[in-house]
Order: sequence, then C-alpha cells, then structure tokens
Amino acid sequence: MRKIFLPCLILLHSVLPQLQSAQKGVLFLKGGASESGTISMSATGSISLAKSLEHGEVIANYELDAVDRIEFVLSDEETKSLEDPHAVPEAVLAGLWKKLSPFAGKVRSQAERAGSNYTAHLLESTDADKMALGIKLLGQLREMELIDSGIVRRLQFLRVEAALLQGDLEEARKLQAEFPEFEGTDTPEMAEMSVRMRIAEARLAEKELGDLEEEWPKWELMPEKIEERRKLIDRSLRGYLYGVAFHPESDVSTAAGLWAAAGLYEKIQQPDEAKARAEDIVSFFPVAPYVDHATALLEKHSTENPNEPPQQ
Amino acid sequence: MLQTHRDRIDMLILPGFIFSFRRKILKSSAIIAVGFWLFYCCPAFAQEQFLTPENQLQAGVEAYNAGELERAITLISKSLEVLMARNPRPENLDRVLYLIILAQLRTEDWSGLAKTCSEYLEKFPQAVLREEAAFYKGMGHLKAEENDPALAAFQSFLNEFQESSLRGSVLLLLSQTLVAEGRHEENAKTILPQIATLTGAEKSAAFTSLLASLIASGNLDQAVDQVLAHDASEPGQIHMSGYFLTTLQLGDLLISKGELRKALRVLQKIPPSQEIIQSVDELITAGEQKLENSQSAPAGNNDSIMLRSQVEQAKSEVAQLREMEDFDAALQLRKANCFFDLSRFPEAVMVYERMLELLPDQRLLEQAHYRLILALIRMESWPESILQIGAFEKRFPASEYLPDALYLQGEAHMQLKQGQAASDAFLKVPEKFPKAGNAERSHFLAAYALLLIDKNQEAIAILDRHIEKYASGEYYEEAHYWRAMGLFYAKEYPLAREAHGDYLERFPQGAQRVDSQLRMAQCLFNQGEFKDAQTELSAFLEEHPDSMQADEARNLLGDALLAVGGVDAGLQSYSSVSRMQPELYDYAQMRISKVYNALEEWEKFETHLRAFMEERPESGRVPEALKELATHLRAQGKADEALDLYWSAVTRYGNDPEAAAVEEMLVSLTRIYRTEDRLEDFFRKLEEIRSDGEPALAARARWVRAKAEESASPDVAKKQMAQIAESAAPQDLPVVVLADVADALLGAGELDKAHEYYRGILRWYPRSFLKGRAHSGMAFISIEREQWEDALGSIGLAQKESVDPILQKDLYAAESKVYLATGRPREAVAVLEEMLALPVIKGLNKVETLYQIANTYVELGDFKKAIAFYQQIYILHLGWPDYVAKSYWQSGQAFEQLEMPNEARNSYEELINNADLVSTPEYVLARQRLEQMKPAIETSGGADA
Repeated sequence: MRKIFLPCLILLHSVLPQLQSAQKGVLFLKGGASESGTISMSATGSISLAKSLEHGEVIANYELDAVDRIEFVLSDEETKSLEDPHAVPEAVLAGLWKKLSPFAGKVRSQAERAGSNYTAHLLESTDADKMALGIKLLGQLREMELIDSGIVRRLQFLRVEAALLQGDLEEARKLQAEFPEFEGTDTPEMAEMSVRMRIAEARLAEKELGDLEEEWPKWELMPEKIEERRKLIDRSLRGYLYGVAFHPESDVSTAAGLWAAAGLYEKIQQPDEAKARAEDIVSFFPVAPYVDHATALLEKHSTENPNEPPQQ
Repeated sequence: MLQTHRDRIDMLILPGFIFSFRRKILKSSAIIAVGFWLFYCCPAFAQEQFLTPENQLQAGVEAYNAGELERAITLISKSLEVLMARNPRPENLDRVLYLIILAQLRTEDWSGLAKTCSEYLEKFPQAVLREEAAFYKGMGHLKAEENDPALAAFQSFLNEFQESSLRGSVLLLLSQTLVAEGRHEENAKTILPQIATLTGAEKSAAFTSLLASLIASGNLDQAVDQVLAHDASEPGQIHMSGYFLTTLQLGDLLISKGELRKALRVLQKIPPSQEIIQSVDELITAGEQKLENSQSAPAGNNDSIMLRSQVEQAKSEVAQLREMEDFDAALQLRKANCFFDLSRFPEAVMVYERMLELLPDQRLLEQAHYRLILALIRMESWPESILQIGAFEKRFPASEYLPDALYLQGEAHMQLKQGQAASDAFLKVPEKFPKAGNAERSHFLAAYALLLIDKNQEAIAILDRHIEKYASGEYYEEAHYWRAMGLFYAKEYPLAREAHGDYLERFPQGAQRVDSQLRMAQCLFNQGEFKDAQTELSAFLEEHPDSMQADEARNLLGDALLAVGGVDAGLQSYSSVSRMQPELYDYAQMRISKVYNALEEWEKFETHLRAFMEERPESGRVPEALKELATHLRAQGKADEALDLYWSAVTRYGNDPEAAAVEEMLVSLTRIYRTEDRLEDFFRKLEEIRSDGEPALAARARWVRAKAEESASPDVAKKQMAQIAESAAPQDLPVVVLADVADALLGAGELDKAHEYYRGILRWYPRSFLKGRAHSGMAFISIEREQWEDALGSIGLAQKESVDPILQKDLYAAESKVYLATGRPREAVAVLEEMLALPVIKGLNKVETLYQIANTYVELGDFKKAIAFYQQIYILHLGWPDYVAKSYWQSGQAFEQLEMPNEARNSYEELINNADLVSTPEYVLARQRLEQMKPAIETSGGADA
C-alpha cells in the first residue's frame, strides 16, 4: 500500500545535520516511482531524501512501508566489497557498514549485505579483538529484523561459526539443528554457505571425536567405541569433503575442507589419504593459506619418504 | 568421436557464417541503391542507352533488382569490361563491381565470388566495402572447398581489419576451415589468442571449437586448463549445451587415459542438465521474444536474422542434450567412479548416495548403488554396507551384481562378528544364484561363519551338503578339513579323527595335512588314549619337526607322556618347546615346574621357577609361578624367603595398575602376617616400600589395609576404602581397587564420585571382567537418582557383561524396581518370574520374590495369579512365618476381591489356626475379618461351599 507523506518540504540546509548517514542513492517507491538524491534515516525513523535544487535543497520524508528499496550509489571499491569481500581492504567493509547500517532491517538496500560481509570478515580474523567485534556485530544484526532472507540465513550460519569459535559446542549444535537444509545451492553464495556449513558440522563431529578419545583412552579395546569413533570420523570427512564432491567452484571453502580433512587423516594415522587431499589443494585449489599448509605437508612427507612417487 | 566433434563445429559455425553473409547482403543494399541512383539519375548514363556499356550496366542493375541474377552478372560484367578499359580506376565503379559480388552471393557462385572479391580488393584499395569483400572472398573459397586460399583470405582479413565487427565470424570460419583440413593444432593456436575478444554466442562456439581441436590434437592438458579457466556462466552463452557435451567428451578421454584427477575436475565443471537446459531455454525464450518484437520494426531486420539463426542453433543443441536422458546420471557416475578409482571413498560414497537419492531408477543407478556398496566396504563401514546391500537387494532383485553384493554382506557381518547373520547372507548366494561365480565360496563361508560362533553342528550340516554339491569345487578340500575341525570343536573326537583321516586320505598333499595329522593325535589324547596319542605325536614330530604345529605337539606329547608316567621323556618334550610362540613356551615351563614339584626335586623346582620369572617377567603366568614358589618356600619352612619373594614382586609390579596379580599377592601377604600376628609390621613395610609418585602402589597399600579390616570392622573398612578416592584418581587405581572404592562410595551415598569410579573401570579397563560390576553400580546410581531409562540401559549392559549370579539377582531386582517405579508392573512381574529361575534365588530371597510377584499381580488386578504365588509361600516356605502370615492374609483379601468368601475364610482360618503365626499382625487382622464375615456368610448360606 502506498503511503507517501509528501511533500514535507523544507528548503533549508540546516535540517541536514539531524539526519544520519546521508548517502547518495535512488529510492524506489512501492508504486514504481523512483527518486534520486541524498538519502538518510531521519530521527523519526522515516527515510529522508534530499534533492538539490538551484537555490538549495528539497527534503522529502517517506514512511518506511512506502519504500520498496534503495540502491545506494557506491564507489567501485564498495561495490566490489559487496561482491567479493575478500578482494577489498577491511577499512572498505567497515566504512560501508558504518554508512549503510542505519538502513539495515528497515528497508531493502545493500546495507544488510554490507553488515553480513563485514561480520563474516571479522569472524574469519585470527585477531581475538576483531573476532570479538565480529561476534558483537553478529548479535546486533540478529536483533535487527533483517529483510533479506538470504542474509538472515547467512547470519544463522555465521552464528554457528561464531559458537564454534567460542568453543560453545552446545550452542553450535543447537543452532545447527535449527538450520535449514542447504540443498538449494542454486547461487554461488548459497553453495559457498552450504560448503561452510558442512565444514562447521564436520568440526563438531571432529570435536566429538576428540572428546571420545579423551573420555575413552582405551577405545581401541572397546568395539562399541571403535564403531562410534568410526562414525564420527565418517561424519567429519563427509563434511570436510562435501565441497570437493559437490561444489568445487567454492574454491576457498573447498580448500578449507580439504585441508581440514588432511589434518584429520594425519590425526588418525592415514598419511596417504592426507597427502592425497593436500595434492588436491596444490593442484586444483591453490588458495591461501591452505596451499602453503598443503605444500608444507607434502614436503614433510617427501622428506620422510623421499623415494615415494608423487600422485598423478 | 572426432568426426562427431567436427560435425558439431560445422553446426555451430555455419549459421554464424550465414548470418554474416546475409547481413552483408542487407548492408550492401544501401550501396546498391546508391549505384542504382547513379545509373538512373546521372544524365550522362541516361543519354547512352542499349548499346552503350552504361546502358548495359543499367540493364544489369534492372535484372539484379528483378532477381535475374545470372543475366545481371553477364550484363554488368560486360559493361564493366568496357568501362574499366576506358578508365582502369574510375570512381564509383567499385560499387558496380560489388553488385556482381552480391549477385554471386545470391546465386551461390562461390568460385566466382572469391574471384570477384579478389578483383575488387585488388582494383579498389580504397573502396568503402573492402572489409565486406575481404570477408566474402574467404567465404567464397571456403564454400568452393578451396581451403588454402580460404585460410589465406581469412587470415588476411584478421590482419587487415583489426577492429572489424566481422572478426568473430571470420575467426569461426577460419576455425571451421582449419578443422576441415584436420589442422587442429593450428586451429587451437589461432583461436586461443582471439577468444578473449569474443562474447556471447561466438565465444561459446569458439570455445567448443578450441576444446575439440585441443582434444583432437592430443593437447589434453591444455584442454583441461581451458575448461578450468572458462567461465561458462558468462551472459549470453546460448551454445553452452554443445560446450558441455564436448567437456564431457574430454572427461571421458581423460578417464580412458587414467588421468582421473584431471577428469574429475573437468567433469565437475559441468552443471546438471536441467541447469544448462534452463539457462539455454531462457536465452532462447528471450531471443524469440526479441524476434517477435522485431517483426514490427523493420530497422531491426539485420539483427533479427542473426538472432534467429542463433536461436535455431541453440535449440538444436539443447535438443541433443535433452535426448540424452541419462546425461546427469552418467555425469554423476563418472565423477563418483573417478573418486572411487582414486580411492577417495568418502567423496565417492557421497556422490553415489546423492545419485540414489535424487535420480530416477535406471540402469546406471544399479551400477552406482553397487559401487556405493564397494566404497563402503573399502571404508570398512560395515553396518552401512549391510544396510545398503539390503536396499540394493530390494531395489535391483535381478541385478547381475547381486551375488557379489550378498557375498559382501556376509563379509561385513563377519567383520562385525555376527556369525549367524554372516552365514545367512552367504547362504543366500548359492540358494538364489546357484550358478554365480562365488556361489561355492559363499556356501563354504556360510559354514565357516558358524564355526566361528561355535555352532558346530549347523556348520557340519552345511559342510556335508557342500561336499556333496561341490565335489570338484575349489573349496572341496577346505570343506573336508573344516568339517573334521567342526567335529573336533564339537568334541566328537572319534568322528573328528575319522574325518581328519578321511581328509588325509583324500588330500595327501592337502594344505592342512600337517594340522590334520596333529588333530588326529589330539583326538586320541582327548579320548584318554595316551599311549596311541604318544605314538602318533612322536611320529608327527619326527615328520614335521619345524612345522608351526611342532611346539603344540611337543606340549601335547609331554602331557601324554606324563599321563602314562613317562616323566623324563615328558620333561624332555616340554624342554624342547621353542620360544617362537610365547604362550606355548610358558605353558611348557610351568608344566616342567609341576613335574619337579611332583618329583619333589625342590632345588630344580626353585631354580626353574626363578629362572622362568627372570626370563619372562611379562608373562601372564608369572603370578602363578610366584604363588607356587612362595607356597613351596613356606612349606619348606622358608617363610622369610617366601616373604622376600612376595615383597620383591610387590616392589617390582606394585605401581603398575595393570599388574593384576599384585592384589592377590598382597592378600597372601596379609594372610601370612596375620597368622604371625604381625599385621602392623606388614602395613609399616608397605609404607616403607612405597615412594612418592607411586599412586597405584599407595592405593593398593590402603586397599589391602581396608580389606584386612573388613571382617573385624566392616564399617571402618568401607570408610577406609571410600577414602582412597580422596588421594587417587580412577586412572591410577588397579581395576580391583577401583571397583571396591566405587562400591564403598556408593555405599556411602557419594553418588557422583561413585559414578566417576565405576566409569573409571570402563574407561581404563575396558576388557576387565569387572565391567558388569561397573554397569550395575551405575544402574544403582541411576535408580537412586530416579533416572529410570539410564538405569535400564546400564542394567542391560551389566546383564550382558556379568556372569556373577549374585549380581545377576541384584540386577533382576533392580530392573523390576525400575518397571514398578515407572508404572510397568507387567514387565516387573515378568522380570521377577525370570529371576525365580536363578539358582541363587533360594530361602528368604525366594520367599521375598514370590511375595513381591504376588503383590504385583494384586496391583494388576490378577487375583488368581496372586493367590497362586501366596499359596506357594504358605505351603512351601513355612520357615518364614512373617511371609506365611502375610501371604494367608493377602490371599484371603484376594479371594474376597474374587467374591469367593468361603475361600477367603479358609485362608484366614488357616492363618489363625497356625500356632507359629499367633504373634504376627496378620493374625489379629484375620481374626477381626472372620468376625466381620461370619454373619454375611451365614446369610449367604455358604454358596461357595
């Protein structure tokens, strides 16, 4: 239903400082009309659009439910950050989120993607402070009622990852059980998320494996524990190798899965299997940092067994 | 394959060629119009009609416009001859010549076209339509099958017209020519640098051509690189069906060359057919929509012609893909097979499973399912493979793979030590597929699996059938041997001996002949025919002194000799046992000590045992040796030496929690010291030998102290036992100590701690005989905590692990308690009735159980059954007056519930008439009840009497 409170015209620049995060863009109304200008969230929670006129500016306020979406005008780097967050510096991700965050959960725009990209980037960091910031941001995003269902699913996935990072397995398992089935991998992003989710599941299984071995130090003498352990290994490997089996196009995650599988194979004393996965990384998924890890592993093995021929 | 591939390239490239051709025609129409205007409107030409070259030219143009192309060509050519003779390079004549080019195009005079275009290019180096002429020149040659000049023309075009919009078409025509010439390598080299400049349909077609040429020229690595680098999801890839079909061919080729990893990566680039079809269909629909819209817009004709051809071509390609009904299954199967053949079984399993889940039934799925089973077997995923074989049997009952699958099911059950299930699975093969290659082996293994679980008679029956059925089979000999062994295991020694004899007669060179010979002798031994056994064993050792069975035969011979008094020879036989098999060696050594003991050759006895313990300290028989020696020393009055021996063993093994005999030694020491009234010395000495950092020894010291207190001060002992937990973690405690500490903690109500220590038994001693005790302790803890399901789980495990009848009794009682507590009296009473069958259930235990069963039946409203159990008590167990009185009373109550007052009265009267029951509370109750009943019975007139 179109509900436009138009025109609330104010011809003064002095209003602008009250507006948050003014950003150039095109505002699409539900009726099909569109307006370009400087867009911001007003203090009252409506959207303000400032248009430059010859002698000043006109500001129009729109109720949220009258607006279909906003397409913000972004710099090339910012646009790239939405498509491939790994390809831009962290500052771009942070800056874009800062600019667009007032619109997240309010109206369809690039804001929610910017938020989830920045969160994912922080969670991937090895820096504890950044990781903590990522977890905090994830919490904030969860509290916003996000509009884009794809982003919502991604955030759910990030929550599982965050719980794993924090070592909260119970929470991770709970979240994972709530997680929708990711078989609809019709977009590269969904495929990527699906692979990462499987890896997260595999990590849980591997953690359970570690717990089992710690809890039952003599599991080798216990047929039921041998079977339990075998099943956990199988679950872990299936998760880690899901990417290479079904979504090799998600190369970073596939490499991550292969590397985790190689690690698990090393742990369970199957070095040939570990080597085979490392070979795959080097030959077909040579992405950082896994290619370096894989190369080091292969070198280690070739030093140990110098006469062994490499794989085809 | 190459021919097919070349055909596809033709299909892809020709339409582009024709589009360009038509486009040029139309584009040139404007130029024709200009020419036409020149001829008709120029006054100079108008004045010279019919005979003049100008008039001829005009007539030619008219003929062209009227579609009389041959005439047009003749007239224009003649006029041009004259005009050109007048002025070799006149202005505007290039357009006239171009008119011939167009006419030749329309008449498909390819050689003429090429010639005219050459002339045009030569004579008019500055002409506006040079680019088009250059294009038609190449095309003319190509169509006239003059491949070399065509190639030269296209190459020259590409060199001269770098920015031309026709470059894509020229490139494809060039490629087509090269392919037609079989110059694949050159084709690949030509296309490769240009491909980045192409887009959409042309790029798709070029990529397919490139890929095909790389394959045809054997540059597979380069082909793989191209496939991996190519982004088929680029917009406008209307020919992606053709591209992916070629990619599939590349994958196949790599597989056939054993390049599985590369094949896999290439095949993984191919999306599901539905995705390809959907993308292409969308492009086709969009194209058709565009064509429909353009019908009303004449300006769009040029583009429309090109688009129409693209759409038609794409339709043909996608139809080809659609026709391949099993494209997806074939693709998935290839990928899974690559994983399988690379021994990447987890990946293979996932892909096969996905195929089975998502794809409809078809021939390829049968293969995929069977391969899935093989992959699971290779991963040693036995339970999963068994499930999958079951599913396979249902889904593909007529499959050629089924005999192998069923055989594997048997193998999987064997691995899980499920002998009966293994045998059943193996038997299915010969039953269902008597002609299968593995039928005989399966039949044999069906028997063997039963032997492994001691179902000897059933195994023998199968082997008898086997011998009859497969008289010339591969397992015929094995069947005879194992039949004899089955009889041996079944302790049918005369028959076993006969069967082994039969085996040896039939197969004098048989693989098991040595073992069979030994078993024959062993049969004699086991029947007590020691002399004959001795003869056969001696002969055996003479014949096979170095066989695997020789040491076993030496021990057996030693035993046989001793049995008939041949001590020296027996000793000699034991002494000749080698150290090859430690158990046999240790057995021989202990037997030697026993001989010395029997002969009272004490010095030899002592020396021998000490030497044995020194030589084989890790032997499981050391505690036995130690005990024998200590007993001997004490008997010899060498108590101090015996003590020294024990103490030295305690010092040596005391801190090893797994040294099981230490507790026994400590108990022996307690006994010795107690006899000598020196218990405190013992404990002090224990304290002395234990050093810090020896937790197991410390715990044992405290444990033996508590044990020593047990008879005199049981409560103190329990407290001391529980206190061990304060200073020792479960992993530091020997299993016996651990169990006693856990019991003490349970007794003290320290449930959490008790649970931790019981669990310690399972964690640190998973093969201990005390596992049943651990499970039962955990069951009792769960009952205390009212965690009923956990309790039932632990009870089940305890019942499985424990053979202790007292513990079994407690477990039955606990189980019934759980059922009663959870409102399942029927289950409770069933458990109690089972419990009654235990031999340990006697005396008070039995009475209590009977009473409990009876009461439970009352609870269930089954008064007749309740009465039957009460009667058992007051008839058969008079020694327990409390229960007798209760049973009479309850029985009376039950009769009353059944409205049988006379029977009730009888019960009460029997109670009050029994002098032993006068002091019980039920006596008073019965009397009161009889008083109350009297008038009622009188009024009823004794109906029940």
